[in-house]
Amino acid sequence: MYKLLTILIVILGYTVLGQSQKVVLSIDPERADVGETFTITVKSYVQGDLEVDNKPSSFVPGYDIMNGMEQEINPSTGKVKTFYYLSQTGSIGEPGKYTIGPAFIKQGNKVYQSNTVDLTIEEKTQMTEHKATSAQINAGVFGVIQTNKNVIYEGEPVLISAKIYSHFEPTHLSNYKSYSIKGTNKQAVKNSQRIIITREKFNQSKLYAFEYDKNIVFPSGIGEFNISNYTLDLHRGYDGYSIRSNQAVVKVLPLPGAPPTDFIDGVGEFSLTRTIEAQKMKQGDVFKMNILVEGIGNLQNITAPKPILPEGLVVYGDPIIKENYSYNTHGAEGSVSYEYNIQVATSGDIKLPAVTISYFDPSNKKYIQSKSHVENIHVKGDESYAAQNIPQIQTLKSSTIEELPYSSARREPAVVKKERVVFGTPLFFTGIGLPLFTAFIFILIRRKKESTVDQATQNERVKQKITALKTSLSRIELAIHQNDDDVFFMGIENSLIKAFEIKLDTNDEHILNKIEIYDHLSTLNKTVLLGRIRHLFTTADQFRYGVPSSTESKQKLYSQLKDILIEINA
Amino acid sequence: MQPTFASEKKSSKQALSDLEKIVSNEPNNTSAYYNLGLTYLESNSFGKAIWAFEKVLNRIPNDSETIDQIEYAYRELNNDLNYTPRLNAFTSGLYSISSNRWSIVAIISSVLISICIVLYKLNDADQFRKFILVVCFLITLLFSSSILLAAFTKEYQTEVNFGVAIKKNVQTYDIDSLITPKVLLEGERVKLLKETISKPPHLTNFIRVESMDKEIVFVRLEDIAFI
Repeated sequence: MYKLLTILIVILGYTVLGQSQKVVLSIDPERADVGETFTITVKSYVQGDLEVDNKPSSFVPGYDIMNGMEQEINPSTGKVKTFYYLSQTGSIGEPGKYTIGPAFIKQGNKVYQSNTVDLTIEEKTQMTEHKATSAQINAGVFGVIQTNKNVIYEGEPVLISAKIYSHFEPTHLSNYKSYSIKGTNKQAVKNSQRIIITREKFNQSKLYAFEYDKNIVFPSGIGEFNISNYTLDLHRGYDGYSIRSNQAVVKVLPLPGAPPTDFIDGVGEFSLTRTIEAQKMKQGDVFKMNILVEGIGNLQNITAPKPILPEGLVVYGDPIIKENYSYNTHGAEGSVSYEYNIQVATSGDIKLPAVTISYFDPSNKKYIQSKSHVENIHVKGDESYAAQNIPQIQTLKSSTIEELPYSSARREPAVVKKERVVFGTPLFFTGIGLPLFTAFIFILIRRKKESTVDQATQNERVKQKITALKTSLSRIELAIHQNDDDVFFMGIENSLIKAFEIKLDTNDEHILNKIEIYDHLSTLNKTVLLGRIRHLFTTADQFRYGVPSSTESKQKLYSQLKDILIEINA
Repeated sequence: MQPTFASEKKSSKQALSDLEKIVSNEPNNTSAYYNLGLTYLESNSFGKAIWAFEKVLNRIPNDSETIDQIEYAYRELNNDLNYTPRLNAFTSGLYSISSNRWSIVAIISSVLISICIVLYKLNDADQFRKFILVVCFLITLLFSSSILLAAFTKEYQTEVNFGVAIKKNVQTYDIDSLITPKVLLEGERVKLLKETISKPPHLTNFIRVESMDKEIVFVRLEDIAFI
C-alpha cells in the first residue's frame, strides 16, 4: 500500500512539475544602465489578456512593441506547438535591483502566471568623448568616438560607441560604416542600434545628440589599440550631411606582477560555487562535481579551475563545460560551469578541500581569490572492488578499445641509460682521425723506406761500375806490358764509356755509346773535353784497325785516358 | 625510474603524474613518452597526446605504431587537419639509426679506408691495386655519408625545431602583440623560427612560429609544447 502511494505521488509530481510552463517572462539584458533600453518579452502557449506586474514607477516604455504568433516543433516528440509572444522595450531612470513580473494571461476564467525576473539597473556608464577637430565642430554636424575608459588592463573590456551631434533634429541616418579595432573581439551591446535623440550642450552650443553602435570590446594583447573612424550620412528629411568621425586610442596595460597559480585568466569580478552529486557513495562509484564560475568581465576567456583532490579520487577526462552568458555594457555576464567526473577508489570519510580561483580585479588593481566550501563525503568500502584492484580506467579502456583502430597496449618499460651523443666530441674525431693518420704515417714511412732502398741500389750499381772501371784500367795496363793491342784499345773505349756511365748514373740495362757521350758534352758546352775524347776514340780506332802502334803511343793514350777520367771526376 | 603500466596499477591522474616525471628525468625514454601519449589519449587531451607521440618519433622516426596513434588523435580532433610526418619514408629509415651508430659506422669506415691505403701501398700488382681503389672509393662514400647522417640525426634528435598546439584554438599575434585572424588548431604542428632580431619586451612570453599553411605568427609560450 505504502509502495503504491509512493508511486502515485511520484507520477502525480512528474505530471505537475514535468508540464512545461504556460507563460514565460524574460528580460534582455538583465543588467542595464540607467536610461539604457532593455526588452521585456512574454511568451505564452495560451492566448488571452496580458498583464505584467511589478513594473517600477521609473519604467519608461519605449516605442517598440512587437507581438505575434509562432509555431515550434518539439524535436523529440515531433509535436507542433503554437505560442504567442509580446515584447516591449523600455528603460528605467533609477539605479537599483528590480523584480519584474510575474506576467498574467487571463483566458476566460483561468489565469496563467509566469515567472519573475530580476533586473539590475546601474548608474549610467560614464563615457569619455575623444576630441573632435574644430573643423568638425564648426560644421555643426559631426561625430566623435566615446569610450568608457582610455586605459585598461589586458583582458578587461572597453565600451565604445559612436556619438553624433547636429544643429538640427535628424530624421534618419544611412550608409553607416562602423569603426574597427585590429585584434579585438567586438560584441554589440543589446539595443545598440536604437536611436534616442536628446538635446545636449557642446561647447556652449545646444545640439541634438544621440549614441549609436555601442559595442563591448575585448582587446587581445597589450599596447595601444587604434579605433578607426566611422562614417555615416545624417538626414533631415531630404537633406543629407556626410559625417566622418575622429579616431581614438585605447591603451592596454599588462597585468601587474606574477599571477597566482590558481589564476583562471579572468579579469573582472567572479565568484565560485561547488556542488557535488552525492555525499554518500560506494567505493568505485563515479560522482559528478560541478564548479560554477559566475561573474562579469571576460567570462568568455576564462580557463577551467584546477580542483585539488585528496588521494584516492581520480578525475577522468576534461570537464564538460557549459557556458551561459551574454554581453552587456560591462562585459560578458553570466556563468560557466565545469562538470568533472570523479571516481572514488578509496573508502572512509573524505574531505574535499576548497576549490580556489584567482582573478584580476581592475577597479582595485589586484588579484582576488574566491574559494568554495570544504565538502565531506562518506565512501562505503566495497570488498569486491578492492579485490579486483582494477580502477575504472581499465573498465573504460575495455569499453572503448573496440573504437580504437589499433592496439592501445602500453609498451614494455625499458631501462634507458643516459646516452651521450658521440658525434662532434673529441672521441669521435679521434676515432675517425686516428686510422687515417696512421695510414698517412704508413705512407710516409713507406716512401722513406723506398727511397733508402733506391739509394742503396744506386750506390751498389755505382760501386759495381767503379769496380768494372778499375778492372778495365788494370787490363789496359796489363795489355801494355803483354803488347795485346785488341785488349788495350777495347779497354780504352770501354773504360771511357764506363766512366761516363758512372757519371751519368745510367741503369744496368742501358749501355752508353760514343754519340750519347758527345751529345752529353755538347749539351754541357764542354768543347775542349769533347775534342779530347773524340781524339782519344779516333786514335784508338785508328790503331785498332791497321795503324801500327808502339808501347810509347799506347802509354801516351793511356795517360790521356787517365787525364780525362780525372777531369770528368769518374 | 621505470615507466609503469599506468592503466593496470594506478589511476589515470597518478599515471600521468608518474609518466611526466619519468620523461622529465629520462628524455630518451620512448616507452614512457608512448605510454604518456596513450594516457593523454584516454583523457581526451589529443594535442598533448600528439606532442608525446611526436617525441617518440624524434627517437624512432619510422615507428609505424606511433604514427598510427597520431593519425588516430587527428581523426578524434576532427578539425580538418591532416597529419603529415615530418620525414618521408626513406629519411625516417635513415634517421631511425641513432647518431651514435652512424658515428660508429664513420669510425669503422675510416679504419677500412686506412687498411685500403696500406694494401694499396704494399701491393704492386695493377689488377689488385685497381680493385683496392674501387673498394676505397665506395668506403669513402660510406664514410662521408655516415658523417653527414650522424650530424643530421644528432640535430633531428636534439634540436628543438617544432612544437604542437596543445590547446583548442590557439590565438596568434603579430609583432605588435595584436591578435591575428590565424588560429592554430589543437594538435597543429608548427615550426619554431629562430629570432633574427631581439624581441620587443611585450613579446617576452611569445614565440615566432610558422604554421602548417606557412603563415608566420607569434603565439604564447604556454600554448605550445616543444618537440
